Amino acid sequence: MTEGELLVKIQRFDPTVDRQPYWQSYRVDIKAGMTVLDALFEILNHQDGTLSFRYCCRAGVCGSCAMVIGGKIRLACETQVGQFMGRKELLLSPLPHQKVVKDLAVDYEHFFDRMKQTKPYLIGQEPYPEKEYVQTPKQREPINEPIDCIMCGACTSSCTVAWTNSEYLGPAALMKAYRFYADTRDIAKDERLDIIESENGVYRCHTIFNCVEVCPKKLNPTETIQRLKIKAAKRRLFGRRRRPRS
Amino acid sequence: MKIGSLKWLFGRNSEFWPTNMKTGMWAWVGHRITGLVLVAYVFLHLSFLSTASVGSGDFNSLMEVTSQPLFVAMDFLLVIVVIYHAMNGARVVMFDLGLGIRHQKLVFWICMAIAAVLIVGGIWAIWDLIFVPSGGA
Repeated sequence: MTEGELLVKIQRFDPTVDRQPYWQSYRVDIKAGMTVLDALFEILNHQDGTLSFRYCCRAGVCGSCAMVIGGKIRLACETQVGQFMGRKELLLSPLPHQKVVKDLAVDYEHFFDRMKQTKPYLIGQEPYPEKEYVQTPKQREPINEPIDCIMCGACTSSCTVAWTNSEYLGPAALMKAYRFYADTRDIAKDERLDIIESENGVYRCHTIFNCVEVCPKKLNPTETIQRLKIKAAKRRLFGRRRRPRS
Repeated sequence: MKIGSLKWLFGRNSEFWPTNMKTGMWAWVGHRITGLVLVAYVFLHLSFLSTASVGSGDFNSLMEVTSQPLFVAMDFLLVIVVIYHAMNGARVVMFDLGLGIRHQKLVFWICMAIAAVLIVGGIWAIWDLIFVPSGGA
């Protein structure tokens, strides 16, 4: 049922040669269980050696192969080609509104720059404990979900606000900020809220929910952004929380 | 280089292509468009009222202009636009208060159902004012 030939159209663009991107068509023999990444390898190995795309783990863990597949951002390694057999063609393009390195590979530099702005590391209470900070399963509950983010960039690329204002931190970075804000071992809450409620922070979110739609890990960045909004607003209303003294 | 042409920004594989847009995106685009319409309406409304009060032609002649079919059609449009904008705004406020984020699609359709009822009620309410010819004017 899922076998046959499929027309795959890929958005090609080489910034050193081309002025504009263009569609290039390939015919791929689809076998049962084939993923989009397998189809890309089929093209690379047998039809066109100049095709570029990024991949690493092939198992939906590293988040390298996020691209627009059939109008929605998905991970190429986790998407079965068989589901597109009913369609006339399958369109593949790089992550939208990102700098294209070549063909389907985009430059993640700006994405990670924004991630770094939110201090994505644990700031623990000094003096540091000899072994570890103790955290009960119940204390870990709020970060169980945001900790699963693989930083594939799907949410930030699909975010319309992040497109119109490239300095907006974006869903991925804000979810990372929430992950450390909600962590009971972290003590730099005020510092984090200052970044979160800055000009390019949470208040730019218009709750469009594109990030929730595209997240390959089924996470909910919008919910974490809204929670941060509430925290930031509460701090404005009721004053700063006193920094715990060592 | 960022891809700059409209063909790629709004093309078939972009998030703006109608078949690719999801509930939240539709709600947001609708909110933006109705918001712009309302801003335009406010300016129209204020300019009409101020011309009537300053007095290059009296209030009644202005009312004659505004009872033309074009303006009547715009009145119905205004009911739809205002109620959509209000109900979607209520939805966004709900999300800002942290309510129903996990069920955003259901929330959207509930708001739209309420909006539909209000629009039908609103049009029913102004129907008589517009289509039954009043004696005096």
